Amino acid sequence: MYLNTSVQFSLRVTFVSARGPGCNFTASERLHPLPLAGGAYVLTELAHPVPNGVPLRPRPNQRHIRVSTRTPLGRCSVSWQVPAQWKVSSHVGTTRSGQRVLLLDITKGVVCKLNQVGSLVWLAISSNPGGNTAEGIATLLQSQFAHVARAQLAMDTNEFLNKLEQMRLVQRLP
Amino acid sequence: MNYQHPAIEELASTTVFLNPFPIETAKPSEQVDWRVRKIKEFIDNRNGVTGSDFDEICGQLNLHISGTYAAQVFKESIGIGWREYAARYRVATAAERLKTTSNSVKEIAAELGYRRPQDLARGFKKAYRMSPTDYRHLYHLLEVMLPIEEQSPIAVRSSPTRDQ
Repeated sequence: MYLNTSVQFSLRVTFVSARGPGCNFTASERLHPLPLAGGAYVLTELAHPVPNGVPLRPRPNQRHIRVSTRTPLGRCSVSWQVPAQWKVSSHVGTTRSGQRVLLLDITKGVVCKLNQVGSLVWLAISSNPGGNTAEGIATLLQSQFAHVARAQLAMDTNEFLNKLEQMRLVQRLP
Repeated sequence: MNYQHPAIEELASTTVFLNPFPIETAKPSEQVDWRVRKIKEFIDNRNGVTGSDFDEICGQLNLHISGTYAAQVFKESIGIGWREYAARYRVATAAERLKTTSNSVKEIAAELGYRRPQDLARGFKKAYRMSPTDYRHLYHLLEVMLPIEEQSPIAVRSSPTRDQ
């Protein structure tokens, strides 16, 4: 992995365990494109980012981790964003009609229908009791729609999750 | 499957499951013309399957008025035309059968005199903004999530404001 140390950049990684010992991170396969020219630095420890020998231990509910470290070519600042876990709100019931998901919000007394892609997103959230991340959902969509750009899937997923959150159909795990 | 942006559509309120025939008469029931009451009874007894000749219906009921005049009086009393009333009653009957029987949509459409199941689906979509199949699925989900009280599902109520 090559990294220009002269710029501060944002790196999205898959969060494996927030509370477990060691708190390993695995680098996402899709990083922001980074310039390779001049002052490029080989960052070899992305799979186990242990800057200066100190393991990263995010606190519970911590969403951002920023680490500054010295490299042979200067100071490097790396930030990780811990992705939110999404889960279905407890007052929402789900049923399926063909390939579509139907939702019933008991508190508001309304019924909703998702389109096919929306249904896939919903199933990705509801099939995992611990919730799912936007990144995980986008990965699932990518397996179904290989011809669609990953960035597009990620953006659509985020927008859709925000809309569902506004409607109180899903919530972020604390 | 083609990719499309994930989307959600709000279909309806859950009241469509509890009261699929939310008609409120324009006049309190005691002020409704006796002929209108007879027409309404006729439509209700036939689950909204009435045919299209209103003159003939008025003749069968011995109302001694023309179909045109009867239609006018009906609309004044009930608030909607008799055809619309019959169509809604028929769809509401279909909704009841979707809830209480395991008959297929095709069978229910045939029982209620629809020429094709698509005609029932069209009426259903207009009344409840969802397909008959979705209605059945959602009703069963609602049953699981909430205990539903037994009630007369397609009773016509009088307007509360005019009752006073």
